[in-house]
Amino acid sequence: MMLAANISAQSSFELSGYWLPGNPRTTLLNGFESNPSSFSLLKDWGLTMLYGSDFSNSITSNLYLISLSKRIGSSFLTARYTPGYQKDFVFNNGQSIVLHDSTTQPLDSKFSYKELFGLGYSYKFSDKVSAGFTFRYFTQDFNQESVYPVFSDTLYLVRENDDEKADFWRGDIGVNYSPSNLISLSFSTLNLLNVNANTVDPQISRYELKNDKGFLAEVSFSPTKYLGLNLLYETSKDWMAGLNNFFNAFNGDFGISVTAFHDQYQTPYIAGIIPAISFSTKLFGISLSGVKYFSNRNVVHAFSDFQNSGLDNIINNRYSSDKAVLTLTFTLNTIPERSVEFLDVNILNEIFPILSDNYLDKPFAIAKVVNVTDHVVNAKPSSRIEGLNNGKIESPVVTILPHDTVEVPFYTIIPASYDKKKAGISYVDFYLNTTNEDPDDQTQKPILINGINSWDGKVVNLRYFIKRDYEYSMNYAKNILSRYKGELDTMSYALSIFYKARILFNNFVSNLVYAANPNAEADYVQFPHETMQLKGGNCDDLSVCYSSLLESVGIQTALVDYKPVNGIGHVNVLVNTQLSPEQARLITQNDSKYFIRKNEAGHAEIWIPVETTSLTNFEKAWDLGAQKFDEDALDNLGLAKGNVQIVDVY
Amino acid sequence: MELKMIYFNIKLVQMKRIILLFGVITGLLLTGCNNPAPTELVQDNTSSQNQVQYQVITKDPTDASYSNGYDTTGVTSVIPPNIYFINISGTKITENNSTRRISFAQALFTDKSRPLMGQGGRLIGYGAAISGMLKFNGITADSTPYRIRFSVKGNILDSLLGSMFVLNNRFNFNYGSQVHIQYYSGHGMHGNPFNPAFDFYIATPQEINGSVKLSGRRANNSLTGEVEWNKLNPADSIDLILGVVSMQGSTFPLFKIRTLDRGRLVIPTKLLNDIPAAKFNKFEFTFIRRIRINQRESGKDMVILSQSIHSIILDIP
Repeated sequence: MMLAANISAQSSFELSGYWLPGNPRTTLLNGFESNPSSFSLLKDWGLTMLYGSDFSNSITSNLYLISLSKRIGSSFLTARYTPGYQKDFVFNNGQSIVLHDSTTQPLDSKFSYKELFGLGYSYKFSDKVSAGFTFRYFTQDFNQESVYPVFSDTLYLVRENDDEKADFWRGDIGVNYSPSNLISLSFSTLNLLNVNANTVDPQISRYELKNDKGFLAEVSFSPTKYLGLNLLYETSKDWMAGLNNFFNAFNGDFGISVTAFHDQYQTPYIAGIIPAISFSTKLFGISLSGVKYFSNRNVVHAFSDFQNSGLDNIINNRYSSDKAVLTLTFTLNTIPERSVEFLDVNILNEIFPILSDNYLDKPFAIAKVVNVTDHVVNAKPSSRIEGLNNGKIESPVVTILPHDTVEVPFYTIIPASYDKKKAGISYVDFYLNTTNEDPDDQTQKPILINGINSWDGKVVNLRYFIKRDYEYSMNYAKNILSRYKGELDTMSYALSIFYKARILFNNFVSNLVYAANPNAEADYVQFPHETMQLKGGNCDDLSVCYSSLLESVGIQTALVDYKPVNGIGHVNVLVNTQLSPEQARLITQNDSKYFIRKNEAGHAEIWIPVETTSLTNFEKAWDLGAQKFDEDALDNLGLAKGNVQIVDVY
Repeated sequence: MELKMIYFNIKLVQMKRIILLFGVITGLLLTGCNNPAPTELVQDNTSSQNQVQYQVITKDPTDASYSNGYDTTGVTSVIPPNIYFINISGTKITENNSTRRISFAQALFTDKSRPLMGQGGRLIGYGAAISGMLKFNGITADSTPYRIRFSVKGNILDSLLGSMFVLNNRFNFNYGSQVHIQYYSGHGMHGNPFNPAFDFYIATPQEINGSVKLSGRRANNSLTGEVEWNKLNPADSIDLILGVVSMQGSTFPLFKIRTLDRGRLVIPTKLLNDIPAAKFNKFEFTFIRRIRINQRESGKDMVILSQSIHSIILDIP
């Protein structure tokens, strides 16, 4: 009774040693044998070649493997060709031809097992979880010499080759889970899917590779950055354990590894070890490993043993010899290496498009950025606000020390043409560039873009409303003043500014019909042309409009910010008459109706407060303005206490 | 602009790297495409693989010289011409579901000094001479002419080479037992001194019972055959003679297949399918379990065959 050969397809064994699957520098050293789910940390292209020598009775060298890997987004693809994953057996098949001279001519057989090529795919669902599958194509060639009679003038027997093939596909799936940098877990199937490409005679099928289904579990523990412990266990009770240690030298990583493995079909219990050393940089890696079996491999093998115990693995079995393997890995990284990364981005404030100048020197967002390299990096931050910017707006370059974390400000530019009145939620794309054209990192945050009339409530920022309608105001003011040209030309030049302010105010208020409640639309400010069209507004709108009219014809103004008392604030206008204190009597005998301020040259000038919400006439508005200013700013020490603030428009 | 230049330089470095890669790959492929050395397995005694030897018996199936006096079925194969030869056999012949039993014994004492040469100097046989009396289990064997047939220039010739002892169906061949052989000397022919005398027992093998399973058809080259027999000691061998029977009824032993006594053998399909269809219409499978004894008696080397034979004749499908 013949026993079926006990042959399994490839299982856990690595010619290059068993390395940390979570180490990007050695991720290409592990093959499908220990990684049926095709997990990898490769960033772009990878090429691996295994070339080795087999120390049997004679030393033979050959190319074991070439694999090409590519990451596309979260997908990882691998194709490999394994010309050296082959095991051949030659033996006399127990038959012979007795020739006429009584000599015998043996009939031989050659059984050849190969893993020809494989394909792998994995998908990275997150930094912690990935899953994938591998398909591998095996060929089995059973070549047997058989007797063949030739009937001619003389009957004789010759040898003829009978060739049977039993090729098949093997497919497995697996999942990898890395809850932290310390530990990584992997679970995979073994022989989940076996598809035979052809069938063979039952007499031969017993020599086919076994396809018993099973599972493979793997755990990798990396207590430090430089140390790794890996254990792989199969439900067939085979296992492999690897210990890796790394250290930095010569701008690369040196790795030392030793792997022990147990195979149920080999003796002793630990069938052998695989010591390995490696050196890797970002560009390439080189590894030298050896497979040392603890049992004597240079012995004569009986065919009966092959029949009874068979073969459990093409590249690691009781017939395998000691090996020396050179592994070369190359990484073609067309994807830029990431030098800096965002940790967090904080939007400081919503966007008020009217405050355009503000964003030139005040960041709208602050990001925490880390340098993930071992060297100093100059990070170039940039941003683009959807709906506001057509392109990236670059912010100043920031220098970051190795592994340091810094706060990086982001600035933006509001285009002058922006005129949307409605607020809306948009988003900002933040970018970090270093030496590459593509960003090292980028992230996105939502942001509120207010309408063009939106105001942040800071009186100092009303000047932007004043400035924006400058052209309208100038046309309007010049048109009014031209009507009083004769009057203005004949009066004293020193009083011309005062009278211009009065003429403009009286004409200005003559077109207005209401003054709105200051609490209404407190964060909405009308531009001067809107105020004129609407014929009214609140204190903000009226002050902006009157100030804009004056400023447009060269009359210096300031806004008086009366801070909220009981929740109600107020704004009116100070007008620089450019009269000296000695000239004040030309316009009033009441010294409480003006306020003296020094200009940039240090000369004192007469400023008069004007209450723009007084829609009567200039004198009344001046009186009201002066009265309020006198009380709040001076008598109540508002200026000193900060309850009243004078904000120069320019 | 500076960024563009940096990116260009990176691409340039990668191009160089790719060129280096191709160089290395090409070099390795050129030197590394040898196949791993195969592992040689040796057959051992405990192998479960049948040990099978194939041998052509009749080089020319039309050569009548191979249908000679004692070798018509090929069961005795080639006997050295210069020795004494004793053959006892218990034979069964199964054909058309009926089996007949034959016991047969013969003794041939060849004389090396009398060779018979055929065409082209081919040795056909030696002369034989008997004298005295030979008994098998106490039954005296007959003296029978020892003649052979051979071909000379296409003509079949008979030649008388002398006499031999034959005992045909007149004694019981008991399987797994013994046959008592007694020889009483006399004087040889032509005055040659021929005066041996011996008395000994020869063991007989266990009975062999074979069966043949044929399937498929020779016409479409799909004929397959499997033979089975009552197996005994797997370390011993049995012989299977594959012969064919001509339309005229003559048996031509073609191949001798020696295999371990394991009870089963698949006949190579080529041996069955390639037999010339026009000349032969029957197979004859002959199973032989044999005890072969080489001994020296009265100064002469002697070969003694004690055989259990079962021949099965059946039509070629």
